Amino acid sequence: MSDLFSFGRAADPTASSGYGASGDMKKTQYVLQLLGSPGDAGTLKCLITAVEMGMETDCGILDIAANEQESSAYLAVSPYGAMPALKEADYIVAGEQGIMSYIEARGLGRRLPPQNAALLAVQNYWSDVACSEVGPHVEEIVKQRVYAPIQGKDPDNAAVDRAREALGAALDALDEQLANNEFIIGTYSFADIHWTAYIHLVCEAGEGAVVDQHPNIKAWLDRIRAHKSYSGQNIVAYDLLPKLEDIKNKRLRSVEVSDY
Amino acid sequence: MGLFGRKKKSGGDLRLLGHPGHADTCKCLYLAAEKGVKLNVELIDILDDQHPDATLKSLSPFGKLPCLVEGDFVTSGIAAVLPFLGVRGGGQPLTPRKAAHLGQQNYWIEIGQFQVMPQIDVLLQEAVFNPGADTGGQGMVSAEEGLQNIFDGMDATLSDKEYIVGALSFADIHWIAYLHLCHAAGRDSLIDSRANLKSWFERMKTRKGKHGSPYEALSSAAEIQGREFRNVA
Repeated sequence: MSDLFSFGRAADPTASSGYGASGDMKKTQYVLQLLGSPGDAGTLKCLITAVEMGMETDCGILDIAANEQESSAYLAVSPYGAMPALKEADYIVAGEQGIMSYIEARGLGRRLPPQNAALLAVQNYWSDVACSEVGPHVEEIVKQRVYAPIQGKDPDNAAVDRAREALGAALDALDEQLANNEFIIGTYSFADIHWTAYIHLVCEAGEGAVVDQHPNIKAWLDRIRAHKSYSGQNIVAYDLLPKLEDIKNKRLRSVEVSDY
Repeated sequence: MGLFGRKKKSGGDLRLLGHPGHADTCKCLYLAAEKGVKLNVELIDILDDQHPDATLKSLSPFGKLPCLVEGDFVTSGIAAVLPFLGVRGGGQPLTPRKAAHLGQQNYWIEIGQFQVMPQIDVLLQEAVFNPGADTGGQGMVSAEEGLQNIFDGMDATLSDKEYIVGALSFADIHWIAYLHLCHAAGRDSLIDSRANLKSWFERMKTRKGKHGSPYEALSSAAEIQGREFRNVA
């Protein structure tokens, strides 16, 4: 097995003795390890899910600026290159869909997906809109605004302009959806997690003006920034999301839960 | 009882707008038949130059297919429609309860959506939708090559399981659509050369749903060419 997961408490024999030692307070006996990138929306979604479900998670860096996701070491973990990747003890899963659902099911407190068929469909519709209508454009903006300078290239400003323009329809639709809802489907759901990751990256990439043009999204983002863990733990997911400097310097904060 | 009421299990006919050669439409047809959910189908011609047209966009602003309509309630896209049908159909949930199985289910769904479906679309375009076009066959060759490694992985996964994560799950519903369309495109060798994948395909074709064989809800290659599909009754 590759050593890409040699990070955090799981790789530190002196730290492992404290993890789950009390036995009665932790649902998990093993620390989750998330291998991803601070500029990757999928990684941020998994990080948010871990916070919302109260799951302690150590984060390691997969250097996408150096195409590490295409390395043989990473392909040994994720044969088809899906990223990020998560490990818990001997279990490994890759890709945001698999990881988010795994963490959610392992997590504390109430389940996140709605039980009602129609609400479940609405949650998944808005998650899908985020992934298909927003994700590719945010990726382009981050690529040009953040990664191009890191790689010593000039940003393609025309590509940024096109991506910004292409975001308009989906942001308009979300703004309308949020007109009468505290969160996207009313209560907090996976849809909010998907959109939080994209909106955060847009803002960090210097395109926050597209959010400010949408008052309901702006108000929702304020609520998200103050939203305490869905599991009831006293942590706020947004506080752990990487800032621009973190993205540039390849830093991800781990999820630590202390108030059991 | 309104759309979001808890007691409502059926609110009249469900309409599914889609296409018989569209993988995501096939998934919904199979699941509806598996669960015994009645669906009235309506053709959206994905090959038409005007697709997605104004009618579809009035229901699904981003032109997502399949599109499900029940009275005033409309939703679209496979991520929304398939779980809706799963809950509406009742019975044994297809979502695994065990976290590890849930993670694996969604891993294989993601691999299917992003790495298998685009190749299947190419196979269908060249073998079914546009068989006379002079494309040199390069698209087919490339698509088949793109599928080999992933089908190997699925074959290995199925070596000790009846279904992809053990019990029938949404991952199987996604993958039956891909293999059916692979078969419709005449690329059975991709399946037959892998014993575990072939056995799984046979199980999915012959399994009994709530009211008969779910596989019979899917259109044949000739029907796909003729843009024909059937209601799920």
